[in-house]
Amino acid sequence: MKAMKGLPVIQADDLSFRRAGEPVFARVSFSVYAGDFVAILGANGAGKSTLLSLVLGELTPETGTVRLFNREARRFRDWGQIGFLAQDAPAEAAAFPATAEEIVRANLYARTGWGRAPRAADRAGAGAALEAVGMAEYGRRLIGHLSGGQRQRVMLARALAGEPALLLLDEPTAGVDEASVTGLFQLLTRRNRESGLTVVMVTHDAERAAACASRVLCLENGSLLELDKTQLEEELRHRHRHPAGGFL
Amino acid sequence: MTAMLQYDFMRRAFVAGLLLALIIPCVGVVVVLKRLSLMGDALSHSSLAGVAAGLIMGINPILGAGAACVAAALSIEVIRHKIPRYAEISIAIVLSAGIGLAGVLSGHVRGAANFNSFLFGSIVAISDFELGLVVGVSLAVLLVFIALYRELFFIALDERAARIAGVPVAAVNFIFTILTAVTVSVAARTVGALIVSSMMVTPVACAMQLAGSYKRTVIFSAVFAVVFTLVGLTLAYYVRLKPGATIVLTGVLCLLLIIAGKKIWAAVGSRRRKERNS
Repeated sequence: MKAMKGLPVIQADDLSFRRAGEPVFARVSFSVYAGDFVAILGANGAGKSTLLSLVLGELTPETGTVRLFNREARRFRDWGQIGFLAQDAPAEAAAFPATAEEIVRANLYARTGWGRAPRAADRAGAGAALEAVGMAEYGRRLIGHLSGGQRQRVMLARALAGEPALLLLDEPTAGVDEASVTGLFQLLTRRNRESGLTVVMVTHDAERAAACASRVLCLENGSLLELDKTQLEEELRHRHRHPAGGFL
Repeated sequence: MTAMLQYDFMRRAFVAGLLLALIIPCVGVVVVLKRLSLMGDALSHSSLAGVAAGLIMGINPILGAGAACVAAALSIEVIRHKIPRYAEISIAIVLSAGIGLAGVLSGHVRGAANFNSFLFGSIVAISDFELGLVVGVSLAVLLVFIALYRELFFIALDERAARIAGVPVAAVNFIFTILTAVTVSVAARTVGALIVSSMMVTPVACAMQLAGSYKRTVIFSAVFAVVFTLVGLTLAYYVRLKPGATIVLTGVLCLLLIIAGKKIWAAVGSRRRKERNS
């Protein structure tokens, strides 16, 4: 599935959100266009994951609107267009008695819906997704028998199985080894450039985000700022000055 | 075996037992994987309150148990969503309320024998109506479980991802809650309210030790439960034991044997590898 390049996939206008009475961010607006690779940076607790939840229509903003593929996020139902990978998904699946293939195929639901078994082509899509993340030979293995990095790749394959137009990732590199993180960024960059997959990734990895993403947004002190090249370099320097408990 | 099946009550017991052995693990797999293993306990204890209320009001105690189970299961779901980070609290609250209510009401029940029969079950003494109920509920649970197989798998695996993939999570959870409640209330009469939770969990625990996929976990769970029921009922008949309790103890013994067997197998494998390497 491919959205037309340059059309807005996410449109957030004037978003404000409070958690337990405390403002998380206020009057935030941004757009993501088809074919973008957007990285969202920010300190812990800045509201990056909350922003994704608002985009997915899981939360209601205090003010403002979010539109997904030109539909209000809360009313959006075309789930086949979206792939999602949560931060804790690989760890949570570790104890589940299912094979990598079963886990990837679960997400075909977004394409088929209730009462329709996946067609051969859909199942082939799931196989292709496992192949794309280099896990084809592990399809019949129990997820719990795989390493953390491998589990993360299976979860990414699950998000990609329905061939979405938009992929949302919430800190997908947390708790994963360096080689797997590099592989993940390479894969996402390739999918973004070759198939036009729109990627929105919440991450702490500013260096890789700067290298791979076409746009970098930074959520800080309740506001969202799109960083240009110079600002991004400043952010990277800033981060290097505060390696322990610093901003990013 | 043939001698045992000459008796009508034993034939009924086998029909009811085997049907329940097929459906209880279907519900049990999802309950265990959603980390709500004690849900069966909470529901079965609440069912006792329904049994007592039914006996006091002069209505069929199984219907009373069913109503109490549905109310308890829905309460668990409501509390679980109010306190999502401590979902197990919901089970503890409903379990306590169920026991408390059952304790208070049981003091007003005439003929304690009937009430007590629900504690450990009386599969060899079920009536035509109760057998009909077991058949009807079993068919309904099997059909719904098959129809919602993919949805229940996805929700048990990752409720959030399931919702984002378009699974109607609230509706499926509601249907599953009712399904669990109805299964527990019917099973409480046959295997016993104090034991049904174990029937829900033990075959699944055995299957999880051996199965290499979710599909196999479901199939193995049902196969284990059927075997436990056959062995348990046969032993109960010949050794004169309580059927529900014997079925459950057969399951627990089997689980211990599987765990021990796996340990021995792993030790033998490791020794062979060492010998090969040296």
